[in-house]
Amino acid sequence: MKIKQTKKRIVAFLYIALLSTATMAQFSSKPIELVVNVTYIDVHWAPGRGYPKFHALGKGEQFVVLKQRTDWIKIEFGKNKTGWIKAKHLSDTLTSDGKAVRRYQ
Amino acid sequence: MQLLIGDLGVKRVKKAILIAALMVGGISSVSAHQEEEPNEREVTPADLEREEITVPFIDTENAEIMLLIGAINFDNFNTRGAMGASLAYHVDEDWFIEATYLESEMSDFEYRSLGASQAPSVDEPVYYTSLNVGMNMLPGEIYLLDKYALSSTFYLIAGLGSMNFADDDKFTFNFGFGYRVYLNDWISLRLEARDHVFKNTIVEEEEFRHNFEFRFGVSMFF
Repeated sequence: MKIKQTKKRIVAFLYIALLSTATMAQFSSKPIELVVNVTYIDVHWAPGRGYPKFHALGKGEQFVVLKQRTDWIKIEFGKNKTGWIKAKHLSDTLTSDGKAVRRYQ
Repeated sequence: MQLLIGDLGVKRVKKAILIAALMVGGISSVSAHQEEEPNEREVTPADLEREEITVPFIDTENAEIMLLIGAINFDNFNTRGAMGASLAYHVDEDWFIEATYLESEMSDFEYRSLGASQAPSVDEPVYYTSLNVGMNMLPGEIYLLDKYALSSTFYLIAGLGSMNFADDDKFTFNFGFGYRVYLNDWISLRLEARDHVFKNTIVEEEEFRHNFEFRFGVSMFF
């Protein structure tokens, strides 16, 4: 009986620890500012090709990278608008000081 | 006749000499032209600047943790509540891998009725663990009233695992489907139905048993 109670307490602690970590992770990403270097980049509503496109970033338009989910990157642009772009479009952008951007070295 | 052959032969020889002379003349003119051009060419050096590349560090959120509650119908037994948790990793927008732990209780009343045991029935805990592969399909949106739209996706899931009951481990295969609604980009609600299949032996007969499960979960991406 005692072993069962201890096991339940351990499991409950692990649940709380994992949930806390997940919650804290939402507020720890550092924003990166980029500039579009191609004609346009489509912005989707959610991280998936099946979700609707609701905006197209034009050349020279700035945006901030917030985080990544699989092959999609969440960005903030304009007046606090957010959306998702394909991670491959990172190579179609430049940093604010003109450096090329790649996903991998 | 001999005169004709002789004439033809002379003509052919003349023709051959003419062609040879033209060829020699052509070759010599080309070589003369080449001798006039200077051998040295100006080589244009490659003017390449290695571009500076930035590889930004972007926080990724591919892992997902879910707390779930539900109900399991034990084949030929009863239906009991269940609770558990799962940890998933999203490989890409279509595929994810998930490890699930589920806990429930099963009364052995029906089991005892087969064996004519006189002891009172007890509730024994049942533990499910499984490793599953899921596939997202049919992404879409659901609309709440006129103002709000929430992203959603339907998915299929299947996997292998084990069921532990009364210190007896049974290999299980499970499959099912679910529906996920995103409250925002890191919290989602999941509604899922699964069938846990395992082979059971009673009175020297083997048969496949199906334990149907229905679950509701809240998940977070991190």
